[in-house]
Amino acid sequence: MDLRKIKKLIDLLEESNLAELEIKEGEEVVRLSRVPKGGITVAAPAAAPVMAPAPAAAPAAAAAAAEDMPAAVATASGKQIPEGHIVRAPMVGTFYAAATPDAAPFVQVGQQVKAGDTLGIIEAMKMFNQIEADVSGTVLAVLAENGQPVEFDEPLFVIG
Amino acid sequence: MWKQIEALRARGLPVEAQAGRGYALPYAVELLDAAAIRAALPAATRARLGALEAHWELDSTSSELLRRAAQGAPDLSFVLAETQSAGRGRRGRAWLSPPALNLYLSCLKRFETGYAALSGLSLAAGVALMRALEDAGIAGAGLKWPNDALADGRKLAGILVELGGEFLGPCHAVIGIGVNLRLPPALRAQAGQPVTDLATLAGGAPPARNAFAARLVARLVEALDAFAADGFAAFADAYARHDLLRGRALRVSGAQGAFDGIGAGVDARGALRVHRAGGDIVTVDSAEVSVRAAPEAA
Repeated sequence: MDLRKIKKLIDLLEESNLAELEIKEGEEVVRLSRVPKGGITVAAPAAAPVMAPAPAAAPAAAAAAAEDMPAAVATASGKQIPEGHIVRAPMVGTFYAAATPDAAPFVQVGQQVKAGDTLGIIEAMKMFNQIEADVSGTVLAVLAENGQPVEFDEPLFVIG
Repeated sequence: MWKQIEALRARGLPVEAQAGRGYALPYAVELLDAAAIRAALPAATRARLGALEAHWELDSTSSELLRRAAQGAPDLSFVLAETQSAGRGRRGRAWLSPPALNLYLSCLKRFETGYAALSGLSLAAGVALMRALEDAGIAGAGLKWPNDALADGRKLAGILVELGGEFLGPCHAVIGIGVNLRLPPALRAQAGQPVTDLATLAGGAPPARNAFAARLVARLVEALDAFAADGFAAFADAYARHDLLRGRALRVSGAQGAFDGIGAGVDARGALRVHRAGGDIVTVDSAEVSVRAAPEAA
């Protein structure tokens, strides 16, 4: 289980009403539990082999907690993220806002989208992933720039 | 009749008109035949195979298979077409698809894992193509990262991988491969880049289309099963043998601008390693890479 997976699990826990989440994968076990103030701790049960180094997981947990704040929050790059449903990058790669360099972008701020609509494309090693809206609504923000690299789990769009 | 012939010509098929004799093609055409491809597969491949279909025309074999994947098409399904009305290259560039001459094939592979485990899949597909070429007795081709097949610096085949499904799994990949078997001269001029075909590499006649399709299907099934089990690690050595960029002077153009360096293979995930003049090694996930004509003195 790699760090990115743990980060995703943290997000899943954040979005849910669960107090604790335990995932077993082969011999690896990770248990996440929510502490009262909305923060998250990452704990490996004593019986299980320690997998991802805990210090590296801590900043990820902090970031996830920050996004749980009710008001608009600023990302590391200083962008304001409006409140709404955040669509994130499923993999590392280059973000494209349009199907071809000459085409209009798939979506623009203010546009209505339906679940399943294509929002953008991420490419790495000539592997392409169409980013689809997983909810219907209005595009409130486009956070990634056309042609720029994105990190795993980076917020790309906000739909509200 | 004349309209039909013109339609074929417009698609790139070099139909010749001979006074008093009628129309003719400059060489024999072997149409794709799904039953013949199946029959030519090793028994072990047939046992693993999902669907295998050959169509006359599709928008693109990958688009068709992506739609079918959403409807539950089985693992290791293959779709081929004689011609594509909207064949796709990288970043929406058109892939020229004249009818009945080349090979346009897409393959669906389902994975229990999420996207993170698929790093290097496009390179593994390139290795499968190299093995199919070797099986057909065709030498002289290699791989240009991430997954173009070139011979003598000219494009022989292209690979495009599209992902779908859940980020954390299960997910699926549709691997589209276009191989130039025989490119008419008019199409070479249209291609916009130096291109070559299997006919040139084989010294005249390209391999039989159905037989070559079967070799490619067999090598893809084998490679995708190995990739599902062991990831790119199972392909690192084979990729290195076919790597056309290792030791070459490269220009890497990406979102952060361009830089020059020497190709230093790929890392365990399949990302390109480039040794920069300053001495550091940079790994690249996504960029346009070109070989510089005049390497700098080290």
